[in-house]
Amino acid sequence: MKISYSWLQDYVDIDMLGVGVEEVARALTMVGLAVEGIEEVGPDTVFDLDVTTNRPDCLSHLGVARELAAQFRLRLNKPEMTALPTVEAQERLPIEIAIEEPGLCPRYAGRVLTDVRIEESPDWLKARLEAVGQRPINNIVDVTNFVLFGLGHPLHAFDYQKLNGRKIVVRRARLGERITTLDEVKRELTPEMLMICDAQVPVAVAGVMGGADSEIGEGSTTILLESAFFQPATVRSTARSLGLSTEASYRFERRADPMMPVQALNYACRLICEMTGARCVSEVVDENPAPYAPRPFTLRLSRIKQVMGVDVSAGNVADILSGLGFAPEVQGEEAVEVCIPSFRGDVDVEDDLVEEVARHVGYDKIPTRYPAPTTIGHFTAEEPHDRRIISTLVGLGFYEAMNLSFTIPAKEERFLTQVSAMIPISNPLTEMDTHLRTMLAPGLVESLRQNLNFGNRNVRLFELGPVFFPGESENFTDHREVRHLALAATGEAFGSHWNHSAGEFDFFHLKGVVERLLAGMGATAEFEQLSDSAYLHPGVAASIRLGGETIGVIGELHPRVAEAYKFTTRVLIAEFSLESLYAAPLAEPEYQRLVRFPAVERDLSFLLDREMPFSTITSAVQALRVQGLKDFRLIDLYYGQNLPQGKISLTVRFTFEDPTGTLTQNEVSERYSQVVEALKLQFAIEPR
Amino acid sequence: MQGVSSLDELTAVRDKYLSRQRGVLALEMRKLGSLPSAERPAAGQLLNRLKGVVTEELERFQEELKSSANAVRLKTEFLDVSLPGFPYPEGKIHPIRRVWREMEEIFVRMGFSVETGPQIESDYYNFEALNIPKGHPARDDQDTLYISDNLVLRTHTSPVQIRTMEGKEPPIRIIAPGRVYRRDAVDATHSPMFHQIEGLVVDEGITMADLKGSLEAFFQQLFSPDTKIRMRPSYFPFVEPGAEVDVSCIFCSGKGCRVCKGSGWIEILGAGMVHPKVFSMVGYDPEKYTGFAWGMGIDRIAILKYQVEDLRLFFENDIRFLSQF
Ligand SMILES: [Zn+2]
Repeated sequence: MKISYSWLQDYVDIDMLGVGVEEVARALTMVGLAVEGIEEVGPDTVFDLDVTTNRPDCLSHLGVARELAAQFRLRLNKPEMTALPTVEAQERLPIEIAIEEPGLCPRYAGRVLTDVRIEESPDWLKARLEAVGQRPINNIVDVTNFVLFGLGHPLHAFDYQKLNGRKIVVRRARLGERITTLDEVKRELTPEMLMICDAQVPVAVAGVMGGADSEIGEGSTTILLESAFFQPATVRSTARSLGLSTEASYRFERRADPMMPVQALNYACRLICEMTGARCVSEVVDENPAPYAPRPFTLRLSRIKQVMGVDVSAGNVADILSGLGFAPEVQGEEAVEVCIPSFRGDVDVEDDLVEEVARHVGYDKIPTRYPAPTTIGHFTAEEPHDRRIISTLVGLGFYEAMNLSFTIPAKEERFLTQVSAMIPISNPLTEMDTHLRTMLAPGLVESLRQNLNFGNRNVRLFELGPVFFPGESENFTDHREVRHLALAATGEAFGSHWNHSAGEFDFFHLKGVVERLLAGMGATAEFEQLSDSAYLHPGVAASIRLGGETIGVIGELHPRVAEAYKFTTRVLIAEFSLESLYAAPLAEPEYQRLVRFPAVERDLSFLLDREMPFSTITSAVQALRVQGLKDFRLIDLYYGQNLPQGKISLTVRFTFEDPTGTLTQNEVSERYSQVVEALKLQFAIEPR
Repeated sequence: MQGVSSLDELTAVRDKYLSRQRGVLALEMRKLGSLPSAERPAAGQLLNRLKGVVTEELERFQEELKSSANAVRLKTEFLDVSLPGFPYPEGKIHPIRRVWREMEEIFVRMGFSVETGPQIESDYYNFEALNIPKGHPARDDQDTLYISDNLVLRTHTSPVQIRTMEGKEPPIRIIAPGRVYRRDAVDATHSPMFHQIEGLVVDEGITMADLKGSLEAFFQQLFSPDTKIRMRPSYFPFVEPGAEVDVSCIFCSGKGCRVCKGSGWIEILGAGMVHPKVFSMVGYDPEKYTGFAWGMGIDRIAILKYQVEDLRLFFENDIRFLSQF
């Protein structure tokens, strides 16, 4: 909202204060009318004011002047707003006003003026309007705008000659009715819309914009000035459905002043008659079927103290509220009785009055006090899990990525064998954010692609964030938000180094990361060959299973998908749900006494069928529960030409130890043979 | 010992003479039994002395060998220490997470508990319970993404405040961080998804002075101990009185610079005293309890703190960007 400094002075004598423009701007900011810019316009200074939606009364110079008057304890000088006399009876022109929708239009006032000369406005008026960024049009339109920006009340001028039946009817639009508005757009109307009509057709969209057919122009000599009060919701919904926002609708939808229609009308008539020699040829017709009833209210001084934390004297409260138009009456020591002015529809509860007092006492006068904590702070139950995962991944060389929660089904389709149900957004802003994601991998793969485009080569990303599932219900009442973790990597396992050859980041690098992650959370996962993932290479993919439940997948991006994203290097992906991992608090460490006696290692090399998963060997060894077998691990794997067809050569290392003493060679051999014999029996392994 | 030049060769010599099984001395010892008893003590002594001499000599020689081996190592081994070290890959947490954590940690130290809630919210929790009924102009300010007539992507984390108050009686001292959504086109300063951290304190005797004090304490920890805050009146439907809170510019200490557009202040959050209607809706007695609430953008603080010129960078995941935090 643009506010002219000299226009303000019409209503309040700021110069008397002897303070500069900057000081006035600061005062406005500190009462809640933030000055966001100060601009010199000719001899005038113009403030750019941020007026919050609850203060439509400050969408005018009078309203802003009132705030200054209250702040600086100055007098507010309102213009003369009494009615001019009407011409003699024989010269009068008829006008009839009928409100069919008093709920939507509680008040409608109008007056007919004749001998109007439509011409250019005088310089003082043009200067006022230009200062606040309004282009002068003609004297009549300019007066209505002057009243709009001066008093905050929207007016409209009809060409009286163009009104059928010399009549105004405030009613809803009829089915099929149309209007061409002042912006030359023909608009279809619906019965939800409130219209200003003559005896036959709509002539204006109530509170929004006038119609072109009844517009005043150079030939107009007789006009009807409209000054009404419309219910905010009806103006808002009409303006929205027509896609129109005007200075008038902006004020009406925030709530204009229900007591202002006649005053604004009188003021406008005075200006027009003065400037053009026009004469008032009708009475002020004031249809007011639902008159505004001022509301009495009590403000307790104790409440001010309870909310603000400071004492404000009854006299000070009364002065502030009086300046703001609340007509306060001090009731003893405890309370002030007020009457809410008609232009303050925002004041609804006692605390609204506390705010009025606080604003004008000044928020900067409120002391600073740190409230002693009465509670012990804690993080969420998930925070330790999050932290452990994130610190592990960061330590292993992954950057944390964040993608938006939105996607489109086409992006996920590539990653799914059958498209799962997704939650759609009913009013998406663009075609690229129509649904909520059900997986993180597509976004992360895209981020990887982007990174390669940016020229980054070895990229490892992870994302820890929510995905969304619709559930069974049609209106998504049983939807679920699930925390997922996804990892994506491509390029070299380690950056090139002069002393080490760099290998490609491969499946086992990523599997190691997942294993480390899960181990850090006290979990051991099983990895099961997965050949039917839509986006993973069927030979290089596994499902990640935890306690019999599949929580996610890991593998190399399917060549088909990799091609679609134009990857030329291998891309490794893992994604899994964190739900079951987060279900319990992180376990406390369990200390095991250290064995003081040396451990003994024995290696075993053997041939095995290539088809046999290594995990079956591991499970078999574990199932034997060999006493003192502390560790069992694969230390070498070889397959090549000098081996029999279909065989691989493995070397595993057994570590034995005994907490009670040093194991003898015999004891070790006995245990070692126990394992070897069992493996021979179960898997027909051939020791080498 | 002639010709012995390595520790391995020395071990062979030692084994030859001193091995318990086959060493020359061990074999001679075993022969003692076949000597006449009168000669045995003298011969035994002689052998033991010999063993001592040999052992001593071997040890001396071993020391010599070691020090000459070290001398060789010291002479031949040399590295250019200016060559690069091994490039263990770098990882970083996201800058938003970094700022988010920093803020959470400060608040937890101040006795606040972290509460969370769903991102898909009902109209009731996102609007109605916050004194924003249907048709309220504030609904236009926060253009909303809808899932259904009754479900929205939450436009702020305030629903968490309502859910917390419904669940327990005061005293309440919580923060609610998380993802929030608006129907905003993506540009340098807007994103349809961003992160927010809201706070709520409810108890008997809580006033605007406590609001000021709490926020000042927070920002002095987040920025610097001399940070000042300024409150000025503003409007949010769920608080009354409402306030906009500015912090003294962290770049010019309030003197005025490019970042604060010369004002010395940076607008940073919205706050206020909890509206009595909000209290009534969760069943708190507004005469007994008062409280304050605030909300600020985590992304916005990150932008401010690191002077990032474009919000979109946070969601592009370019590692050249991520590696800087
Ligand atoms: Zn600055």
